[in-house]
Amino acid sequence: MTAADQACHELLVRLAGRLPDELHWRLRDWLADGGQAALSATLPRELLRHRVGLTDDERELLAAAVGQWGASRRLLDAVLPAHASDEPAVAFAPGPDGLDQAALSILAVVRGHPGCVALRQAWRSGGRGRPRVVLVLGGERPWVLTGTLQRVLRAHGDRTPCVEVLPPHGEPPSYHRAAIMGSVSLWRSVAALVGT
Amino acid sequence: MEDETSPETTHDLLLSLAGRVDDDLLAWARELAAVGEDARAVELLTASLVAARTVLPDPVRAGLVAAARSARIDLDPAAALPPSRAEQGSAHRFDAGPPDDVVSAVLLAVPARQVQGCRILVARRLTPAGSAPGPLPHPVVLVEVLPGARATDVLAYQLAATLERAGVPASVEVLTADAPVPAYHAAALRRARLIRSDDGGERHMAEPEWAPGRPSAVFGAGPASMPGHRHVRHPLAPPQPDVAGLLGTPARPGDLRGDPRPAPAADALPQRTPGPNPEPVDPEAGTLSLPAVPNRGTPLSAVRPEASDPPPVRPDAEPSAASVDPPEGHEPDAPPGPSSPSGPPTGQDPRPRPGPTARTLRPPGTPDARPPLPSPIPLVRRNGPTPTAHLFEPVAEQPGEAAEQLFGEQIQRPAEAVDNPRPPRNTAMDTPLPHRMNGLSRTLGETPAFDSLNDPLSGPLSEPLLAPLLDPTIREDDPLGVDGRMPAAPEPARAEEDWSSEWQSGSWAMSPSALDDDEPEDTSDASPEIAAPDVEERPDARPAPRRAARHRYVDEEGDADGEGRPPEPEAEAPRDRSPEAQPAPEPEPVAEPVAEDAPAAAPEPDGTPDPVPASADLGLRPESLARLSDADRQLLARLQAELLDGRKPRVSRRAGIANGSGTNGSSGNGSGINGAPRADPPDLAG
Repeated sequence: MTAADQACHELLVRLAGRLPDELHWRLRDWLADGGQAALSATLPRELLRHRVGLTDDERELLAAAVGQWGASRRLLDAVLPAHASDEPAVAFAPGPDGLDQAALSILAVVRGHPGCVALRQAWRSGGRGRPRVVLVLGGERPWVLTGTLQRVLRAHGDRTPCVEVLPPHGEPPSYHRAAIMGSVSLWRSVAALVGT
Repeated sequence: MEDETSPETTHDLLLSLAGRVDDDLLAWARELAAVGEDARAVELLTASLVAARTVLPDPVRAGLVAAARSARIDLDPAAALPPSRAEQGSAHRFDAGPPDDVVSAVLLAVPARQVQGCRILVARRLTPAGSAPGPLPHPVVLVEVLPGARATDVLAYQLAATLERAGVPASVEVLTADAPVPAYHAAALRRARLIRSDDGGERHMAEPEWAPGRPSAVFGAGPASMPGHRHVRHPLAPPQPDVAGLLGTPARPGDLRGDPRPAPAADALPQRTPGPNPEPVDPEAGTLSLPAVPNRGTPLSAVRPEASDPPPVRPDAEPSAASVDPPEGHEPDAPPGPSSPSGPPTGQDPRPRPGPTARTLRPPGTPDARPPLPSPIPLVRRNGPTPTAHLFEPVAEQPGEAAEQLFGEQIQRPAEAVDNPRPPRNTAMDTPLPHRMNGLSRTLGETPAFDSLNDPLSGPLSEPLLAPLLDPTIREDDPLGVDGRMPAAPEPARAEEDWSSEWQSGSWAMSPSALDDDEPEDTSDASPEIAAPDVEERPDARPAPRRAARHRYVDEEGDADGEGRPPEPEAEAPRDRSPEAQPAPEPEPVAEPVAEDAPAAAPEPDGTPDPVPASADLGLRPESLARLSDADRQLLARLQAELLDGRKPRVSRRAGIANGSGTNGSSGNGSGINGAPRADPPDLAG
């Protein structure tokens, strides 16, 4: 079940910027809440409804996640194919200096979560609104950390939180690469710097 | 008390799920339900509840299961949801909130038409809802509508969208007046604060039932948070009067006068008093007339027994207004809505009443009562002269009498176009084109064919090609106007003669506009001169008139050399025309019948005598002479006169001209004919 959750989390990370924010954060929240049945029933249908195409790797992740949770094979086969991930036409900026209440709350959670390496923050523009994008590098059970951080942000008034928990190594998707380049660092683990 | 029945509609399901999911999801689901996407709304709600493993009471769970099956979603809440559990009341807590918050201001700015027949209350929820709640306290707007008055789900969506656009997202719960309310809404109503009431006079019939039991205007909020009266504060009014009311200060008549939204007036109450047995389905009836629904839980009116207006306010305003003011007489004086900056100083209810009375008293200015538009100003007067006048301006600048005449003639055209309802083109068509073109033709010395090109009306406005079609003389049995070229005389001999004359004159090779110009003169001038004598002389020409004409050309040996070619005199006549050589006031000989060529050929410099009187000396037999037309006789007489005079006929030059003119196109260049005229010296010398 953990492998399926991990696959679903990776797929939702790849779908950042391709699904509406008000839907995307809910899918992540359901995953963090253990709502595999809800995801298996809604994720393929939402992909079809928003005409989001998936690459072969993403399709494998979809099959490894919701396919294991009893999603309709017919809906999975109906998801549109894509040769490459869509490049979101958005831009990222560091934003104002200093930490607000929401950033401080997030920092408190991230510092206490095992495996987290760094915390960055950016503000997205070019799309609908100018939401805050929180980038977390590393962390065990990233889908749970994502759900927690989303709820923290919602409690601070962010109705559609954008939290991206990425693996500490590896090549991030284009959306997250651009977000990292346009972000500002809020915190970095000293233990990760010394290599322990 | 909570509604113990299962929700029957999507809106009822959303009402029962209020407080169980986060407010954003509830607002999203309401939007989907309002636009008709109930299935997706149920899918999202079910997925969220299943993911959060929310425990629902049995009626709500059963309603969700039924809705999910009806929407045919992939989730089965009956199996995915945890078992139901009964609830006692609601765990949520509410308070009234500040009296002058942004939510109240936005709701007061909503047009009265949108919330007509509604009572709007606002409460603040102090407890989180759903697994991912937003910030607290969360404003909850409670709207009470009459049963059957409007679509509750649409109203909820519209008000939520209004608040969302104002930057104050809030949950909007639209409740029906007589329907039982869930425990969540019952708890909110007990703490809610009335913002505005646009229900008109109907609701006042029900208020005496629960008004005496209300200790304060705020539903259970206590005197510290209650407004002084049910009147709604105007958004632009200073907050001081409302604050005074919230503090429990008794409202004075002066305060009521200054309030643009006083208590729902009793001015309309006498007329709207229902009968002793009111029907609950009547939207005009108040809550009092609605029967209780014992199997649907606690009605909305029973939820707020303590939420009544203070007695000091209502007895002062309602009985006096109801007894003094006429119900309908002062309706037009009422301001249109809450957005009016100032209200009437009488303390009467200025709000529009729902129903047909308020609609009929709509102030003028609406599309229905808009006065008729004035008659459109003619385009000529608004934008200057007509295009026709612009076309004639360059011509009018030319000096000369003809230009002045033309200008003077065209000056009247704009006025005619203005006063005449017909289009200007029709006006131009009514005027005979030859009369309009005479001045310009004489001034420029152009041929009639070029006259048509120089016609200022030539082009899209004139459309000379359409002139025959628009000619009223065209018969209906001949829409193409083929017979229109022929004279109007019905005699076959006359038609045949005109055919041969036209062929001989060569007018058929000229421009159509020139032909059109001559048509009115054909019927007027040629008919009386030709038709009468010819018919008498040649009664046997009818069976085969064309064959007789051909025989005549074969028999005439003198014409075989080309001198008798029909187009030659017609082609030469316009070229010899000049301003000096045009004494005739009507120089339109090209398309005229051959009979018109007799006076036109008379002033030629050849000095040829009139051939018509010499027709008897042509040496032909009487029957052959009778087959000749006047043109033939003229030509034959001219030929014989030249032969008798011993002069060299100008055959070569004229033949060259004739060949160059290309009457039929057969004598083109390279045929060897053009070479001889070039080699010959000019005929003018010798």
